[in-house]
Amino acid sequence: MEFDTFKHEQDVIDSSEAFLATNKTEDCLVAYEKLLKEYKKLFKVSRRLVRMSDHTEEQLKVSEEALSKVNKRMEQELNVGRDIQMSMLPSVFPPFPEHDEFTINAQLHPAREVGGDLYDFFFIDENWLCFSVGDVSGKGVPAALFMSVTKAMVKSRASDDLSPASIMTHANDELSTDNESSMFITFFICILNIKTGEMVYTNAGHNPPHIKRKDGTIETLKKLHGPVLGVVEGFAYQEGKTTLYQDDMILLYTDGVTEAMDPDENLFDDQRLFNLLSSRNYETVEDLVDTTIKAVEEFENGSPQTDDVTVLALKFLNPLEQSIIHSLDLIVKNQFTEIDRTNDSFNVFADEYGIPSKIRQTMGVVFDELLNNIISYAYTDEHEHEVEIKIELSGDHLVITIADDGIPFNPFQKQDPNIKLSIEEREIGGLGIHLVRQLIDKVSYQRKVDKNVVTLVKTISK
Amino acid sequence: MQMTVNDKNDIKVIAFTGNLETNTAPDAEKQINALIESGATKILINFENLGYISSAGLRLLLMTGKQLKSREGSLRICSLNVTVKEVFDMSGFSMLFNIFETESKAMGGF
Repeated sequence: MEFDTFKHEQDVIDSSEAFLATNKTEDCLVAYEKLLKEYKKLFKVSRRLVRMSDHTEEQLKVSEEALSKVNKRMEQELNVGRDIQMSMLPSVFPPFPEHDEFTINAQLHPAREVGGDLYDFFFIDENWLCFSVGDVSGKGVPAALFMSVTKAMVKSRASDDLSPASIMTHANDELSTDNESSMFITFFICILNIKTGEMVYTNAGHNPPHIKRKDGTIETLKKLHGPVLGVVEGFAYQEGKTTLYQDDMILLYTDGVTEAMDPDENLFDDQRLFNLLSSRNYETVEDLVDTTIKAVEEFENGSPQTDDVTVLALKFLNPLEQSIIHSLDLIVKNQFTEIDRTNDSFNVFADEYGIPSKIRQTMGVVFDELLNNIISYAYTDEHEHEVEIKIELSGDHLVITIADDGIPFNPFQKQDPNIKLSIEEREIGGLGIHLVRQLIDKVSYQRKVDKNVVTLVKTISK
Repeated sequence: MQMTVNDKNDIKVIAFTGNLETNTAPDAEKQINALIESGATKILINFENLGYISSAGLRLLLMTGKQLKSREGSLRICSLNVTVKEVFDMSGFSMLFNIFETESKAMGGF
């Protein structure tokens, strides 16, 4: 057996490692494919060597050497996977020392055989923090690469999208397309307003996080908003909402925690985690993360760690803002009479918070135009649909969002009508939207998952 | 929404109370059409008690104006509140119709 035959393989491995070191997803995938090929070849060679080994003692010695070489290379490959995984994660703690609104901490303990866990956190803009954990099916370099692709995708989408449901829907579509390896990833993503504590989140097939309130009660975010990412293309994910108040903590984790095994093969399980969380007060996020990781290690009591263990904790510190936001949520049906109901509800709201009658009249026009548009044109079927209206008053700003599940349509894309024509030439089309645009200070449109969302901002001068 | 019609000489004076929008405009349109069918050529619409008008209401005015013009009649509008005036200005309707501050001013020389 000539070991020079491994020279080519060694070259491929070396160059692949160089590629992997660049951390570019596409390069990594190419490098990974090459590595996998060599990996398989080396396996074949080693198997042959094992078969040969009963021949002579000399041959046995040669085989052993070859095997140890193969093992070493495999180990190298696993290290590469782990390096990819770990280098992708934020690792400086505390990550945002300039912020006193919250603290955040996370740890990922990779299993001996590298897995595909991840955690991440970053600011979308000055007010909104995105944080997440995920767990890729499978292990090794493929899992690490899948994880890094997902992470990059989520971050890029989040840069101009504040809806976790929408981010998950897009990431899922991207990951599901041409997913020949049939890998998938469970994911939990939160977007938190660091000023108000408002939090929107989506659970894509992941373990349910726990919120520990200041008074010690534990709320588990049990609802799933969709399946794991990478499997059901075209799935429209949903999202949930909650608010964190001063000194509330939220704990995200992967199944490496709850499925950790002791030497008798008992699981750590959800209950043990829940008990750990409620057993005492955790002053800092570091304390909570450390304690959880240590508890898992102690529980394993020497049994080998079979999966990555990831824990992320965030503590909200900002006191409740003094400028209280008043809000009104309405759900109306796609019937013209519902326009009146919307105005009636808005008027009650306006009465309560002293919104002047000029604004009520303006909003009367605006609701009439927008709802009329939706009811008349948004639906191609004869079914009953729901239109969600949210009215928020904060300071001197009125923010109205109207969401319908009709066909994708941006009303503000239309050109304004020519308002200088004579009475005979004038047509009425497009006039309604033109009025809305003129009457409202700021209008915007977004297609979010399966909904048209129109946002209006009107400044109130009392 | 309420619509009342008063005869002052040969002028039909229509007064609205409430709002002219998607749900109220069709009914008003029917009543005004009936007036025109029965021979009215001079119509004054008094908006003194109108809260707001949306494009559905503007459409009604446009139809009424077009119809009267084709019959050599005319339409005048008076007493717009701030919101209605704003909508008229934004839509160019201020330039399209004869608009008066008060009913008595509108009646002059009609």
